[in-house]
Amino acid sequence: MDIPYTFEVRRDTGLTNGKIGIWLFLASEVMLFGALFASYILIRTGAESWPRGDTLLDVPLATFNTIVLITSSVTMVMAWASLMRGRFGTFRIYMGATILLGGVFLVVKYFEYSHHLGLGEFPSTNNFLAVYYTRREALEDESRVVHQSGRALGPLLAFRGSGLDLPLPDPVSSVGRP
Amino acid sequence: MTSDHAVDIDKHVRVYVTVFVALMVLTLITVAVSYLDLSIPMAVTVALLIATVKGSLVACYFMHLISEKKLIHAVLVLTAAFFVALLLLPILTVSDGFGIDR
Repeated sequence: MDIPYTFEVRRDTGLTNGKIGIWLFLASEVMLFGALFASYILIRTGAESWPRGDTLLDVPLATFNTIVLITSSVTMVMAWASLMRGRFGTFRIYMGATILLGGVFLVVKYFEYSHHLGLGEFPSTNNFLAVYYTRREALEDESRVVHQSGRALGPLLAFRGSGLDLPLPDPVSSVGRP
Repeated sequence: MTSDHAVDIDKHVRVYVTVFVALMVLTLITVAVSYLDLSIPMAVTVALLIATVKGSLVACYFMHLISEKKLIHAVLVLTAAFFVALLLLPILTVSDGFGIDR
């Protein structure tokens, strides 16, 4: 059975079903991260003392990874814009860059983790590190990987058999179309 | 694809580039602030403020929320309300002092 309103907009919602679906998914992720933020606030406010983050973490490395993430957001949205212009070749370059940047992020994380583990800094060492490994890192990395592969697959699958001129079902990136 | 449409997208791309530059600048400001010797509450406040601006830029322009339909906004407002409740509940259970032996 086909999913209704994949390409065509539903008149009552003014949206495609896929787009509503992806936003509901994002809403559920907000709640997932909300639980983690709530536990972080409780752990931190309940702690006797809390180290300054920059005494334990590498600020330049974190800055680099932030730049990688921001750049990957831009390449993603540029990939979408390329599709809207019907330029599939450019789309592939931007999408490839997005996936590559996702990989760069993880490789940097690998070196960051192995550095900490080499110093004997485990999640069990203290609450700061427990939060560092679980909340900030593991889940965000996980969601990065899931999102980026999802973002890559979505438009590619949509293209299969649908032809370039159909409106794209990419749910998150949708600007007013003529 | 009409030419109007292409012009429309060109306009969007210019916005994306501007937002990209803004995000980079804000990231550098966050890093610069981390080298100032601010008190912890001050540092957290500044970091969260900048992060809020950055997050809003990404949501509004990269995720196109600024030109989104009402239903999506409604879903997100509801999510925000539950998110706040989720954050407040455990904090209230501790701060109201009930059931805690001191």
